[in-house]
Amino acid sequence: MDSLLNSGSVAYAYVAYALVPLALGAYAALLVRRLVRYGRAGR
Amino acid sequence: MTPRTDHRLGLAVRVGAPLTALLALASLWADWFYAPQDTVQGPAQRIFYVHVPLAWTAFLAFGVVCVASVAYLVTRRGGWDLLARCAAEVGVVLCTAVLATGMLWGKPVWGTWWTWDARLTSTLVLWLIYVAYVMLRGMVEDRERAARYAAVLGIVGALDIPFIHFAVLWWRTLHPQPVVVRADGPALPPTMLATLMLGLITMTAVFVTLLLLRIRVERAAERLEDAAEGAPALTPIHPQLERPLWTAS
Repeated sequence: MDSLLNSGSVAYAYVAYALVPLALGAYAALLVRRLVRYGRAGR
Repeated sequence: MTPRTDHRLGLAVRVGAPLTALLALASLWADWFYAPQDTVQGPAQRIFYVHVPLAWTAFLAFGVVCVASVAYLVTRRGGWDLLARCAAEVGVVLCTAVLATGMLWGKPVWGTWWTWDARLTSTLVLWLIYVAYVMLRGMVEDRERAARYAAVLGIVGALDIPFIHFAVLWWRTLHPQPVVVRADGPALPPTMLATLMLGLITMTAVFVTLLLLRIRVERAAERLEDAAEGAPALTPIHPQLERPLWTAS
């Protein structure tokens, strides 16, 4: 029972730990891209 | 906001972003190698160290929206409105991650991705309110009117936060009861509590960095908009004129 729970649930933990930095990193990258674009347009 | 403030914001982001990345790496190490494995839930319990800090910072973001909205309605200063709309967008991103990590934790532990219990449903309602807030900002063209409507929605939405906290105490829910903010102190072993605290500091740093970055973007967009409003129209008022009106002497 323990080993079943451990082997199955580690995949969910890996997905969660991959998803959060990816999502927040993508949002930060989007903001930086917009900032660069507005900066160029303002010059 | 003056150009000097803009410069300071830029400096804060440039210094804050690498520090936040370092904190994130330390937090990742603590989550997987410092905190002991939960004997009942196995590795899935480690989602707790990212899910709970995300939830706290999402509430912090919506709390900022509420305070800034009240300040805007009292003072009518554009700076408060700018802070509110930036915090709302960052809050929506964080709250989306809360819901996603909650589902990823729920499936192996509860056997279901989602259940309509009081905690989950009230968090979904909070997310929907602030998605509506972000949409409202884009739909109303008159800046002042959009700011006023959004401020009211921003304040009403934040009333859901205490409801979310107490939902697990008022009703029988599948979601666990609080393990840190409790009348008789935290119910976590010291290593787990330390890991959670590091996660909380990290996620707060992530929130502040994203918020500062978002404010810089909004300021840059506002400057462009103001410059476009101040500039003469690109098409001549009378289409049959050979030269645009503003060049006629």
